[in-house]
Amino acid sequence: MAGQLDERGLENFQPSSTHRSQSLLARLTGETYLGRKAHARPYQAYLFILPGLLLYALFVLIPILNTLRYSFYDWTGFSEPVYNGLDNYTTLFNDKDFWVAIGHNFFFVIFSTILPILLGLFLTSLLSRRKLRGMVIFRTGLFIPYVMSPVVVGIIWRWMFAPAGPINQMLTTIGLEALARPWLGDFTAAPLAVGGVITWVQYGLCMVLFISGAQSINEELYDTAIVFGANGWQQFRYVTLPGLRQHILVAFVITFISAMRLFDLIFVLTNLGGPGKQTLVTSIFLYTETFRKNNAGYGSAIAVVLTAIILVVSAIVTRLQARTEAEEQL
Amino acid sequence: MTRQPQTTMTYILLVLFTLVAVMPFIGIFLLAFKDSSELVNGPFALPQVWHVENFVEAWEGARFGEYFTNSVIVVIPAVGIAVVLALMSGYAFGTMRFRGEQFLLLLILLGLMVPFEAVIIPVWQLMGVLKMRDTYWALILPQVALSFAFGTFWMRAHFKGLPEDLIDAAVVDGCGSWGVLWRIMLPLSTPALLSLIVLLFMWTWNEFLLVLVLASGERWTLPVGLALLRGRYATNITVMAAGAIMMSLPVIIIYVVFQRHFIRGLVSGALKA
Amino acid sequence: MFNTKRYLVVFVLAAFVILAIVPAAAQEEITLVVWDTFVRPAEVAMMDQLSAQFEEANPGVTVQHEGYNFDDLMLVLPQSLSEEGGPDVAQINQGATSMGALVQAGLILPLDDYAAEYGWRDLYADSLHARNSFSADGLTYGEGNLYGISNTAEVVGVYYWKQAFADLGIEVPTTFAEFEGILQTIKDAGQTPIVFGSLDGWPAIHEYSAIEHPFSDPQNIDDFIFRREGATFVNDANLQAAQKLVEWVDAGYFPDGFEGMDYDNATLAAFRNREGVMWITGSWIAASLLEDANADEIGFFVIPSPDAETPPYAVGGVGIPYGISANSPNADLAAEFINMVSSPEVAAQLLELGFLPAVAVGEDQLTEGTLTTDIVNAWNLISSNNRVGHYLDWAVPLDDINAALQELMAKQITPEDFVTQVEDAYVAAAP
Repeated sequence: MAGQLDERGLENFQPSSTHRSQSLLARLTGETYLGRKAHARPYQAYLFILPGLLLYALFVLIPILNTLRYSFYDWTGFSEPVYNGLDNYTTLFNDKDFWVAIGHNFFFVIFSTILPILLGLFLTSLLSRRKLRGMVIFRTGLFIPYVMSPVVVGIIWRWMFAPAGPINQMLTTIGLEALARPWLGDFTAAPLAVGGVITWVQYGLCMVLFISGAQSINEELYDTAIVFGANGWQQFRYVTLPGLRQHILVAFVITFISAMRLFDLIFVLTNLGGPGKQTLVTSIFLYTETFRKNNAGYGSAIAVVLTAIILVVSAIVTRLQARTEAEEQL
Repeated sequence: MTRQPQTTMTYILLVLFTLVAVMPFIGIFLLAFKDSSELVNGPFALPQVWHVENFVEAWEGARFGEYFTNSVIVVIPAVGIAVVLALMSGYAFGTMRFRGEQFLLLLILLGLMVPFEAVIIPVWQLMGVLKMRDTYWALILPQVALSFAFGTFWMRAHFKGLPEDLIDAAVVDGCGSWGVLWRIMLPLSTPALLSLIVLLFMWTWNEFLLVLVLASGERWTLPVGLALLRGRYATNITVMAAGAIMMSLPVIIIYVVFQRHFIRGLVSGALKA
Repeated sequence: MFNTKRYLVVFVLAAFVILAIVPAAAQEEITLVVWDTFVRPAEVAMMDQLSAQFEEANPGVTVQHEGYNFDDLMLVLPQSLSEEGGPDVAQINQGATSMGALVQAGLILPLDDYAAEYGWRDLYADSLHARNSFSADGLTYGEGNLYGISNTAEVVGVYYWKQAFADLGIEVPTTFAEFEGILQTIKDAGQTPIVFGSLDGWPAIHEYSAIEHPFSDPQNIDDFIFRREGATFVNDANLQAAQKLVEWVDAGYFPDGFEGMDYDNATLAAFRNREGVMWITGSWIAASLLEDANADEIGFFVIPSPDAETPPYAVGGVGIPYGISANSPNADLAAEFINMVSSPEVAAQLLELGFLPAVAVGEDQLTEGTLTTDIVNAWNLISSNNRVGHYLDWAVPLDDINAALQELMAKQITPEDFVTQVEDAYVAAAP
C-alpha cells in the first residue's frame, strides 16, 4: 500500500517501499506531495520549469538584454558596432518622426481601446440579464475580426477603401458621393480610416468580455438596487459597471498593448505609415530605421523606449487591478 | 418595466454589430471567386461563375501552396512543444512552492509584456551566430519561447484554480509529480489546454514580423507571403483574395469548432492572469 | 565455398552500383541562385528566357531566379547574403543605403578582376560605371571598386498617346515652356494631362525630378548624390521645382484622387485606358505597356530644357546592377551569368522584349516610329551628352523622400519646408 496520509494532510507523507511506477523520471522526481501548503523538494519544480526556461532565456531574456546593449551603439546590423553612449537616445528624443509615431500610437489608442470599450459597455448596458438566445452565434461572429491575422484584415480593408472599392461604391449608391475619396491616400482621412479598422477589430472582444462578465454579476445586487428604486441607468452605473471593473481593466490592457504594438496592419494597409507619415507608428518606425536604413543601434533604442512605455502602463493598470481585486474580496 | 422593447433593441444591435464584424470577410470570400471584371458589381454581388481557378493560381503561381506548407511545418511543432513546456512549468508554478518562485515568475511576466520588436534584432543576430538562419527552427524556437511565457501563466492560473484537496488527493499510489501531471492533471485540464492550444495556434499561424525578418522567400509562411504578394500579383486582387481566404480558413475553422473553449478561456484566463 | 561466391557476387554488384553513381556525382548539379526585382509578368518572362539560355550553355547548371518587390529585396539582402542558401547573384540598389552598406559589411565581391577578364568596362561609359562603384570601405560613393554590372538602362521621360496628341494638334515639345503649354492645352480640352498616383510614394520622385532636373546644374546633382564636399539640397532649382509641382497639382494636371492611386494597379490601368494623355515615368514600364498597345501608338520623349539649344538633362542611369555575394561558392559561375545577361547579344533580345539595354544599340536594330526606338533615342540623347540624371533616393532614404513628396503634393507642407525636410533627411543619412 502507498504511504499513509496523516490527519494534518501532508506534512508527514512517507514514501512506501512498494511503488508501482519505477520509471527513471518517477524516481528522479521522487516522491513528493503537492499542494501549496507543502514543500516539494525544490529541484523537482526546477526540473519542470527548466527546459522551457532555457529556451525562453535564450530567445527572449538574453535578447532583451542585448537590445538594451545595442541601443548604446552605432550599428548597421551587420558590421562592427561602435559604442556611442546615449547618443541614440538624445537623437531619438529630438527626432520629430519618433514623436509623431508615438503620438499616432496614442491616437490609435482611442480607436483600439476607448471606442471598443465604450461600445462594449453600451451594448452591455442594454442587455437584459436573462441569458439571450443565440448568444453563441453572436459571440462567434463578433470575435472573427480579432481572430483573423492583421495581414488579412489589412488586405480586406485595403480593398474596401480602394478608390473604386466597396466603401466608395456604397457611399455613391446611397447618394453620399461627396464623401467618397481615396481613403488610404488622403492625409486627413487615412488616420481615421485606419482607426476605424482598428476599432472594427477590437470591439467584438470588448463586447464579449463585458457581456459574459455582466452575466456573472450577482443577481442579488440588482435586486437590492431595484428595491432602492434604481432605474435602468442607475442599475448600470452602480451595479454593472463596478462589477465589470476587472473586465474593463483587462480589456484596457489588452487593447492598449495592441495599439502600442501596431505593425502588421499598418504595414499592409498604408505602406509603412503613409501617406507621408500620417499613420506612422513606433513599431513601423523601428522597422524602417533598423531594416531599411540600417540603423540597428538606433532601432534598439526605439525598442527600449517602446517597451518601457508598455511596461509602465501595464504596471499601473495591474496595480489598479490588484487593488480592485482586493477591494472586491472585502 | 420595459423589458420587451429593450430586448428587441438589444437583439437588433447585436445583429448589427455582428453583421458589421462579419460582412467584410464575406465580401472578400466572394471576391476570391470572382473575375476582376466583376469588381464593379459591388462587394456582395454573387460571382457569376465561381472561379475556382483563382485558388489554383494562388496555390501555384503565387506559391501559396509552399507558404501553406511552411506555415504548417512551423506551427505544429511550435504549438506542440510550447504546450508541453508550458504545461510542465505551469504545473510547477501552480502547485508547488519553491525558492525563487516569485523571481522566476517575474522573469516570465517580462516576456509577456515585452513586444517582439524588443528582441527581434538580437534574435536575428543570434540565428546568424548559431548558423541557423533561414531554417524552420529559426521560426519555431523563438515562437516557442514567447508562447512559453504566456502558456506558463495560463496553465499556472488554471492549476491555481484547482481545489487544493483535489491536488492533495491526487497524490496516490506513489506516482511522482511527473506521473501526477500526466495521468491525473492532464485529463482534468483539457478545457484550459484546448484554449491554450487554440490561442497559440492562432498567434503562431498569424505571426508576421518574426517571419518577415528571420526567413527568406523559401521559408515564408502565409502571412508574409500574402503581404509581400503585392508586387507580382498586385494587379490581381481576386488571386490575393483567394490567398487571404486560404490563409484564414484554418484559423476560422479551428476557432469556430473550439470557440467555446477559446472565448471562455480567453475571457476567464485573461482575468486570472 | 558457397559463402565466398556469395560475397563475390555482392562485391561485384556493389562495384557496379558505385561505379554507376560516381559519374553521376561527377556530373555535378549546381544551382545558381539569382535574386532580382523582376516581378511584372513581362519581366518574369524575360528572366525565364535568359535563364533557359544560360542553362543550355552550361549543362548541369540550374538557374533558380526569384523575383522580389524592389523594397523587399533591399530588405532581405543583408541577411540573405550572409546565409547559406542565399543568392549567388543579386540585384543591388545603387547608393549608400544598399550597395554602400553591403560593401561596408563585406557581403558583396568587388568585380574589377572579372571586369578585366570579360571586358565589362567597355559596355558603357565610365561615368555610369561610377554609379556602381564604392571605395573598399564602402564609405565613398562613385569611386574605387566596381561592385555591380547593369544590363539595362533607364531613362525617365514622358509617355504619350500619339493619337491624343494628333487630335489636339500637339507636337513633341522642344522647350520646357512648350511642355507646360501642352499641359494647359490638354487641360483646357477637358482631359487629364498627366496620369499619376502617389500612393506608393516613389513615383512622385520622378514627377519632382522631371521638373527639377531641367533647371538644375548637373554638377550640383552629381555632388549631391555622391555626397561630395559642400553638397546640399538647398538651392533655388529645388525650391522652384517644389513650387512648380504644387502649381501643377493646383492646376489639376494630375488625376482626381491621385493620392489613392498605386503604380502597378491604378496608374498603369489609368494610362492603358487612356484616362490621361501622358505619363511621366521610366523606361522600365514600356514592356508592360506593349502588352496590350501597339508599338506605334505610344511615344516617348524626355522633358526638354528651358531653352532649345541645351540638351535635355533627365533622370536616368544604368539599371539596378547585378552583384555577386561574397559568400557564394559559385562566384566564377555567377560572373559568367552576369557576363551573359549584359552581353550585346542579350541586349538585342532585351530590346525586342521591350527593355532598354545598357549597351548601346545600333541604328540597324531600331524601327522608326516605335516606342522602343523612342526610348532608345532618348537614352542615347542624354547619355551621349553626358546629361544623365540621378534618382533622389540614392542619397535620401526612400521612406523620407516618399513621405516628404506626399506631404508636399497634399499641401501639408510648404515648398520651403519640403526642401528643409529633404535636406535634414539627407544629412541624417550620411554614412
